[in-house]
Amino acid sequence: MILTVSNLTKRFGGVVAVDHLSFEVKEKEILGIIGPNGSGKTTTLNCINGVYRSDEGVISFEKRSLQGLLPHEIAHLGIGRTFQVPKIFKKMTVVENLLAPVLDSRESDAALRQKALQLLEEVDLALLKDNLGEELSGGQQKILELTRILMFDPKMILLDEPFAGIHPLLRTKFHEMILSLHRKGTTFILVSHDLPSLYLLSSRIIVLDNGRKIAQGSAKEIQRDDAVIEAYLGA
Amino acid sequence: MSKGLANQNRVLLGLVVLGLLFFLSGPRLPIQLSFTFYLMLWITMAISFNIIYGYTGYLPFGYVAFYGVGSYLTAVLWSRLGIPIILSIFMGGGGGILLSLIFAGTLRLRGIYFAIVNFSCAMALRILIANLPDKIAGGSFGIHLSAIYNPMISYYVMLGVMVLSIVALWRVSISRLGIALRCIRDDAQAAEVMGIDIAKTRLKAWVLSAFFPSLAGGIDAWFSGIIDPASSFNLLITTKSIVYAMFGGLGTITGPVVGAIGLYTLDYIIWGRYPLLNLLILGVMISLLVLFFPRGIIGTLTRRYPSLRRVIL
Amino acid sequence: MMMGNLLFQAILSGILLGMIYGLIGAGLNIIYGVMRVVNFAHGEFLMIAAYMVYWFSVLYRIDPLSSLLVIIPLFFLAGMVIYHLVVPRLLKSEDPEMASFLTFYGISLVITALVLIAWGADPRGLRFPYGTPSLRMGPFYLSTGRVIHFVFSSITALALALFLYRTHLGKAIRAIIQNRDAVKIVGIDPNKISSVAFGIGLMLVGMTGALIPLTFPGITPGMGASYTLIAFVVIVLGGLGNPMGSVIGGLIFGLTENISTLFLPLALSPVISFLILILIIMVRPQGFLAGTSTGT
Repeated sequence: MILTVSNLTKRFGGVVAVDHLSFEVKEKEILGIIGPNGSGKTTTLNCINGVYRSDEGVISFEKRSLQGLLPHEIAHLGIGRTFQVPKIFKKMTVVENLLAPVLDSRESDAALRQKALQLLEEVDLALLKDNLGEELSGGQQKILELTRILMFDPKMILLDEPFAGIHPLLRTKFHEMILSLHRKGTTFILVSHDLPSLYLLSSRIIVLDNGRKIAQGSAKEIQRDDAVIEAYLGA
Repeated sequence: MSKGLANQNRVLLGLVVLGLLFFLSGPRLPIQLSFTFYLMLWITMAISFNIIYGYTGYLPFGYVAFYGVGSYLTAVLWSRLGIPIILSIFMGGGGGILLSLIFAGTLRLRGIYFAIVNFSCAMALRILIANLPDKIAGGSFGIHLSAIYNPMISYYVMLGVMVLSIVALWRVSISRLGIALRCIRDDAQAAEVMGIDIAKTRLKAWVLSAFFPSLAGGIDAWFSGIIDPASSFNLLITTKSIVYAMFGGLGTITGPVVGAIGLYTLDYIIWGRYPLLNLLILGVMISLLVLFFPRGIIGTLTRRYPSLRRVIL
Repeated sequence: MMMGNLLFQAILSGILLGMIYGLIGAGLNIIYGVMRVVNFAHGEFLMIAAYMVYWFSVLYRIDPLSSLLVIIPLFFLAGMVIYHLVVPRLLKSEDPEMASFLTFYGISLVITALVLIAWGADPRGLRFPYGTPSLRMGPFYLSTGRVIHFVFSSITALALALFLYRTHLGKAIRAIIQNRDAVKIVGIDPNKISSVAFGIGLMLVGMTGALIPLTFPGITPGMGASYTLIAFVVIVLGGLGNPMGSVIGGLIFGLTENISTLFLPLALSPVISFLILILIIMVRPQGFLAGTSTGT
């Protein structure tokens, strides 16, 4: 197990966003998380990432507790994260965006730049390297956000709605990126409403509703699960 | 490199060389030496103020404290302990750094609270210094440094410090620290999630921004020959740093230089003839700048002509 | 005993001044609470009122309390005008709090400069128009002016409390302080209410400024700064966004300030104000009383 979440609870005022949630992530797997709006998916990612401090529960990564760690410390442990609306640096160039995660690295500027350019080549963004983040299209920004994480060779990547609002060609490209990274040994947690993509990529899926886990299993099992169907169609 | 870019670079280089020549020949020019001296001082103040406000968005409303501590430490070390003036100035700079470290804890406060606390610290410091025993700090009458009065050498020391501050800002902005600062300014949460230690980065900018005003305070003490609590901790020093840096354009290197040159020259001319107007104009400028012109000259220019961004930094 | 008398005198002074400070803070607090605007020129507005009262007295022989008939509506209207001129623009900026801080700081400089240019830097003093300048209470002396100001401030504070808690408009203002966006759902227009709130805030500071010559002799162009500072300390003590808490904050501060003069040289007493401000912000920025029963 690379990540263990036990009894995770997060409250906002009177609302319990995540309610004693427990699950595990196997090393090198792609875990999907689905659930209706407001079921606590993004909040869970935020807790793993350190953006929120959990009220109860323990999260451990590679047997090490993430309790009380700040987001940048968690990033240094090898956990990367993308957001529903891509959080790239708008007023900085594409290359500078890629350098951001590795500013603490001992490698030389030249070496880092070369690595950045190489990654940009692989995703066909090399020509835009001196453009500002805000000059990129939405789809390009999503790619940039993911590529940026690759600069520090993450062990685990948390993807929050990566397929939201991108057109089919780009979606396929994303699938390829994720699968190729997966082959190289990266673990993924994939939060998405895009069920087809999820079924395609994930080995295992957990379903959240109202902050609780209501089902888990393979794609096939989930599709037939009554509780899941009710959660999506009911209420 | 494109032809346009090469030309722009040449223009910039030309301007820099011109500027240097101007300041180097200061004492020979038919302009009052105090004008050129204080022009350099205000460029230094605006540049280093920009490091903290322009790059982190934190407004040290008590910025004058660094200048004041630098001027007082220098004066006290020289007059009470006989330490040579240049060494005293340098130690004054160290005093500023020490002060910034002592108050580093305030950096975790939200913007407006930081401004208020910083301001309160500066004002409290001023009162405390004014009430120290006269033997130590001269009370409200201050300390004389007339014995060591040397406008020529102190002028060139100021020139050196100004150049140093500009080079420092330039080096920082192209360095990893500069990238980190700009990332934080762009989207602090994204920066954090990418592994940037916001607190440590801010601290570095904070300490760096304290060094130069402290030096400037010490050199000013030497140049003018006298210091006292009211002038060393004058709130208008913070005000002018804010206005000059904002007017020129925060978050750039050329911005504070342009702003300081333009506004200080204006200040000098007006103050010479209509002293009371200065306060009025400063007040009007701050309000209008914040409301209508927050990017300043350079900021507005780079918005209109984005290609300038590569050259202007 | 000497010490006991001095202490009691200090406490008395502290209470008298505290109520006055509290009202200064209440005005600033309403302005901040309703629209997150940091009015750094608060003290300067107080100074304008003081100067107005001075000129009314010198030119027309009108006493301060009577001047209020003009000052109250004038400052209320001025508040609404300033709101409409400045605040919508501020709220659009990236950081409205900092933008308002700087803008009103600029305004404070402008006001100070104009007063300096118009009337010079020499302190002005008002001749006390209400009989004997001091009252005697056993072994204690009370300045009549302060007592009048205190009584007036207390009545105003009571009126303010009734307004905020018993009237429809007052409750709307308190609602906006709690959650500016939520009130739109209930059909309240935050903009209209905000301009009224700004008017009230300025009105309060104008009222205090009008009577300040009774409490502190000497009106100067630079006096605004210390009152702005007091206002900040008081609202931080009493809780940001909690106007009535400012009254309590004012009393706490008044007492602290006056009692500390027994132990510290007078010149150092502003340091106390600054220390209180720094300490509270570092430890509990929302204020002492935030979250208690008088708080929101």
